[in-house]
Amino acid sequence: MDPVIDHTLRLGLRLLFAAALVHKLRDLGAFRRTLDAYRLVPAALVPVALTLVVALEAAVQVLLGGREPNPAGLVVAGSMLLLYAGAIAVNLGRGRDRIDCGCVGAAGRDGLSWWLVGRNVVLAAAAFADLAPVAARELTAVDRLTVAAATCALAGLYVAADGLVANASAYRRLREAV
Amino acid sequence: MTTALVVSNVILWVLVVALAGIVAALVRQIGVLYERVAPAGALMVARGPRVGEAAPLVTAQAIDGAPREIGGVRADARSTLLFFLSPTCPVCKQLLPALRSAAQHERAWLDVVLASDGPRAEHEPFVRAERLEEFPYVLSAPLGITYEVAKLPYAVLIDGAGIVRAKGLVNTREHLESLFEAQERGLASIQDFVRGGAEMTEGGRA
Repeated sequence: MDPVIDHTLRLGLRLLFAAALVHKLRDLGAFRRTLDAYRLVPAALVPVALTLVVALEAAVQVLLGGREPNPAGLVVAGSMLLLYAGAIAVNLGRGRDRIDCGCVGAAGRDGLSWWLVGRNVVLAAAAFADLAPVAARELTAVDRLTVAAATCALAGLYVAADGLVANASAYRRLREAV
Repeated sequence: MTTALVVSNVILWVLVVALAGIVAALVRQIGVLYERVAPAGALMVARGPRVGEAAPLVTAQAIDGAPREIGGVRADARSTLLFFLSPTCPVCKQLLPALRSAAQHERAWLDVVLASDGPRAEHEPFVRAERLEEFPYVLSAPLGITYEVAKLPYAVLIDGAGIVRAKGLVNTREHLESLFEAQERGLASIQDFVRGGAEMTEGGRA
């Protein structure tokens, strides 16, 4: 794999996890209630799970921050994304789709949906794909531009896709009403 | 040649990033449109006591343990807005500021009562976190069954004489306000309002 793709994926994942971490740290109480509502860990272990999730999200920042590709960081990031997808899928299976998603962005504000599961699986696939061996090549100025611009474009498209998922329920309500 | 390609590459990236930003902004604007355009009045569900009928008297347990009567004729003739919510419902949480300002504006004639069900331990942290101490908060499964509340957030407006004046699923601030509007105009629902408007137009033409 070309180093440009590796750098773009890692920068994108770091951006995503940074947004998720800030979202959680800004209102730890809300995140705690979200964890409670997911009903996946016993109530007594919720503080432990909370600490673990925050610590792992912070670890992704450190592990993926280096100049060289880091398989451990990618595995942690990919596994976390799959874990979230699984947590949402389990609650959808239980019919508890009206709970707060706890997701960063607008998509989860009306509750859970299979879109959120799909999105996390795609993101996890991107993280695991980056485990492929990276070709040795010096990055030039044009490469740096490609990495920076591609990351910005991916972030914009992510926000757009997130918005579309968030709008989906309002769109459905509108169609049903007319 | 290389310079030309680099320049074209730079320009293309700038355009791609700008386009991604514009798409994201457009999606956001469409979202706002959906919220504004979506059902203009609280969606009436043909279940439970009808508008115009007497609200059954239900004694519900408040979160502090005191019993509270909902429905029936009130000595002080004040109206009651019964707002059904749950700590795990995100839309309910979004509506709390609107509910708070409505309670403030209409305080001359209206009491807001929050209603939910389930164990008290699930609700106390929610009340503290959202600062809902100012509202009476009742926990009663029979109350939800009486009004046949199937989806949240749901609101029922009961006047001082114990008559249901408006009710429905409330998803936005506009839905909530439409309940007060319905009472002021003496209309049961948005359907009544549309029918009334059509008759007036017909009359004007004749």
